[in-house]
Formats: sequence, structure tokens, C-alpha cells
Amino acid sequence: MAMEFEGRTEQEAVAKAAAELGSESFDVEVLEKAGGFFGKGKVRISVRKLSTIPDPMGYGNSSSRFGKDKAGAAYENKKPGQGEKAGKNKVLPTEKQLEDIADFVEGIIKHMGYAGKMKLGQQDAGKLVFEINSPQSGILIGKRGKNLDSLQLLANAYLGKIVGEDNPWRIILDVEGYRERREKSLIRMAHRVADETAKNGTSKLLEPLNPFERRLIHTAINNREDVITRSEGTGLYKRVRIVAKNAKRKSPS
Amino acid sequence: MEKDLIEFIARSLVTGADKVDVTTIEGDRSTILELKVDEKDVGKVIGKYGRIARAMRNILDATSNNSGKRFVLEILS
Repeated sequence: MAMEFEGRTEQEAVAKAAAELGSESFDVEVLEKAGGFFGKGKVRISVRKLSTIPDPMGYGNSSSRFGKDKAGAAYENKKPGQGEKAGKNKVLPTEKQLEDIADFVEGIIKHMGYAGKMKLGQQDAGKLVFEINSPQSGILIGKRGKNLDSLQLLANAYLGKIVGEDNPWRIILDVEGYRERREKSLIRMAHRVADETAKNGTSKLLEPLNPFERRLIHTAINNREDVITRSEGTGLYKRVRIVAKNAKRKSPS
Repeated sequence: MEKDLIEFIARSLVTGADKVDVTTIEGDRSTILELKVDEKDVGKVIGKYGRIARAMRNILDATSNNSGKRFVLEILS
């Protein structure tokens, strides 16, 4: 049974669907998109509960991978070695340092003209997850998380200043479980593109993504037998191309 | 106000907070914010590959201003 939902963004529409169906296990198809990718347009999606459709790849039920995790737990962007450094250091920042970080981010949000409260979530492996609670959550997240990433970068720069050179921690900012939602929607999108390219024997270039998001897609898609992934472009925002293994010709690059 | 926002961020990131100064230059369609910091702190407000500066500009674009004016951040060195 298919149901339709509407929202300003794909995520909003998916969130509505999740609330209505009371379940995260469904397949999403975007029917209509107006006004840019994450613009102020309208997105209409069609949703089907997964139990009613075949799921040969078994990736649809990804909720187990993320479902139980606290927001932010799955969001990490560490290079080899960094984890060991963080692992050795079980010391947590002092109350004062945590408060200073919260004050700093809240201060920025206030100066931006919004309201927002920082709450410390879980801390492990050197990660300090803060949840921002705000009535203006949408703008604080921004297009593809741009504003949230900027706030996070500034918070980490500030952390570096108050902790000093050998700062073993990394701040992760989250708003209303955005990090987790973004991961899910990226993986879902990647599988959708992979299905399409595998079926048609073609390849497709995804939108520009940051290194963490690209790695997420490479990891998710490399479990599949029918397609491969590769990165194209230079700079911070490279793009991932998903190529069918039975591609008829070499794709232009 | 946008000037206070940039001042707040810059003061928090640099070591010489008292040397931070933001000058506003009003234009027709945009306002230029000139950020001046102590020489040794310039790297702190620009960051590797200009990442801090870019983050500040993103934040500036996301502020709630209904004047319809754009804010342009320039870092003087």
C-alpha cells in the first residue's frame, strides 16, 4: 500500500511519513520536487511499507544499523589513528570547559537572532555530542547541513583554543536527530541510484558531498555486487559516481 | 546585530580579544563588515583553507535579518 506525503524538504516529508506510519521501515520514492534541491519548494513523496514489497538487497531494513544508536553515534569522521589517541584519553573536559562551549554556541545562535539551548549528549571515543534545541531548527541546520556544519566547525575551533594543542576531543553538533536522518536519506538515495544504474547498465554522478558523506556512500554501496563507486573532482566537495559493473561503455569523466 | 555576531565569534577564537575590531560600511544593497584582529591572530579567524572564514560567512548568511541586505565579511590583514 502506497501513501503520499508532502513537505518543504524531502526530510520533512519523510519525517511526516515516519510519524504517520509509526515505523522507519519504508521505501521512499520522490514524486515531485519544486524549488531547488533543498530550497523553499515542495517535495511530494510516495511511501510504501517495506513488509509489502520485496527487498532483495536487504538494505531497506537499515533501521537496525541506526535505530538504536543515539543521534551522533553513527556520525564520525575520524582518520586512522585518531581513534586510538581518543581511546587512550578517557578524560572528559571539565564542567567549566563544557559550559564554555555551550555558552559559545548559544551565544552565536543568539547573535544570529534565534533561540537555542545546548544539551550535552553522549561522550565517547573523544566525541562530545551536543544537541541543540531550537524553535528555528531548520535554519540552524541549513541547506544540506551547511549551517550546522559551520557552527560545528567554529565550536571545534573554540574547543581547540580553550583546551590547547593536544586537544583529544571532537565536538559534534546535532539538531533534532538531523545527523542520523541525513545518513539514512543519503544511503537510501545511493541505493536508489545504484538500483537504477545496475538495471540500465549506466553510471550516475551524485551531488557534491563532504568527505564524511562520501565515505558513508562508498561503504554502503561497496557491499553490493552489481555496482562500484568512485570519487570524481577535486577539493573538499568531490562527487561520487555510481557505476554499474555491467556498464556498456566507459562513462565520461 | 551582525557586527556583534562577528565580534563575538572573533573574540572567542583569538588570543588578543581586545584587539578585535569590526567596522561596518553601509552600501545600498549590502553591508561590508571589516574584521581586524591582531597580526598573530589572523590565522585563527581565517583557518586552514579559509575554513573558519567560510564558516563565519555561512553563519552570517543565515542570520535573521529582514532588511533584505546582504552582509559581506572581509578580513583585513
